[in-house]
Amino acid sequence: MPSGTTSHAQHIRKTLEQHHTGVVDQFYKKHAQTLRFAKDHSLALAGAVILTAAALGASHAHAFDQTRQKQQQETSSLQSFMELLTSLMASRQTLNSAEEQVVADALSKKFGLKLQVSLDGNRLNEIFGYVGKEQHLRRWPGDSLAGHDLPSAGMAPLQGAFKDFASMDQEKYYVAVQLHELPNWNRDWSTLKPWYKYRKVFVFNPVNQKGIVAVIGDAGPAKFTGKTFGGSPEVMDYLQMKDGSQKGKAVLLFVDDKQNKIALGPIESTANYLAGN
Amino acid sequence: MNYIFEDIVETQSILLIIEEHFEDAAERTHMKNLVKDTIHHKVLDLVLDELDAEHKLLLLAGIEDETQHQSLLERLKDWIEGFEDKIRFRAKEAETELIQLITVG
Repeated sequence: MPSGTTSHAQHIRKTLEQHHTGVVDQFYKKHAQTLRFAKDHSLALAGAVILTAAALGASHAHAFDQTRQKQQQETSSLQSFMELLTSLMASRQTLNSAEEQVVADALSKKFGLKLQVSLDGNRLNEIFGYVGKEQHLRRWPGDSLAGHDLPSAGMAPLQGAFKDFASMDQEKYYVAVQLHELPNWNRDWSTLKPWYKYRKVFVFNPVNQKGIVAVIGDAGPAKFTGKTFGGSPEVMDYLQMKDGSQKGKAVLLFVDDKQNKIALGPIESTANYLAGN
Repeated sequence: MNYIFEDIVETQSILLIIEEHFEDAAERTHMKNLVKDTIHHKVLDLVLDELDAEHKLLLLAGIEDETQHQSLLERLKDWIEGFEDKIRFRAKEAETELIQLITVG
């Protein structure tokens, strides 16, 4: 012990060291997922930070138009972040829960939607996976292929899991999800089925960053296919996604739209809108 | 090493107590660093709680690079309403807690 250190100083040192250990432990436990993600992707994230810092630095030289500069910074930040996420998703089979939340937050901002990994306590078995191309579904008894766009996709012989659609757009922009793979499906299907029926979702293709609002219109595909979702002919066409050997992965999130104001169909990035104003 | 929030928060009282009780320069530095690190984690905890997932990661990616601190602080002001007041308050709380700990008992 250094000379001149009193017993009270010893008490101070011991107390502060113990307290420091407790504070740091608590911090790392509380923020473990975020810290792990940041560490795992530190190089890519650092790149995103440098890009956004450059955008910020540029804005200081043009203080006369701060509002517009801020919008552009946000757009630049978001775009660099989306590129980061795209490269992340290209290299991953699945996303952990921290990554899922990052993706949901980034896409919410990019498209101006309130996107959720889980909603009302419900979540899909996966939010990221391969998408298979589905056929058209019969919207109601007597429906025929002639009444659908993209007739070359064909029509399934049976109606979807939820039977009649309430509108033409619901069938046009539908996805199939693996309801049967939900851990509580067998026990709670009678309450889960109405909740998932035509539930609004957002589908995002990370390769071209296109997004579309759709509904859950059917159950499937079977797990052995290696696919996680199915997309209607129109959904697949807009997202430019293919099936078979060229199949691609998409992100699928719930749209929190309790007032039912979000229209089904393709949706443009709001970040581009900000940049143009 | 400079902590990112160091120039905004004011925690002189606890540092003066350290000055007063530790004569050895190396030990004084160690104790001051311990205090700063404790307060830094308390403030960072608050900041992370205020940010969405994307902003958390952008902050963490640059927090250890001092050349990024100024731009990160500018962005934190945009991202968190009342950012400076909030972190000053949290730092003061943390400092008060430390002073109570070492003066009680």
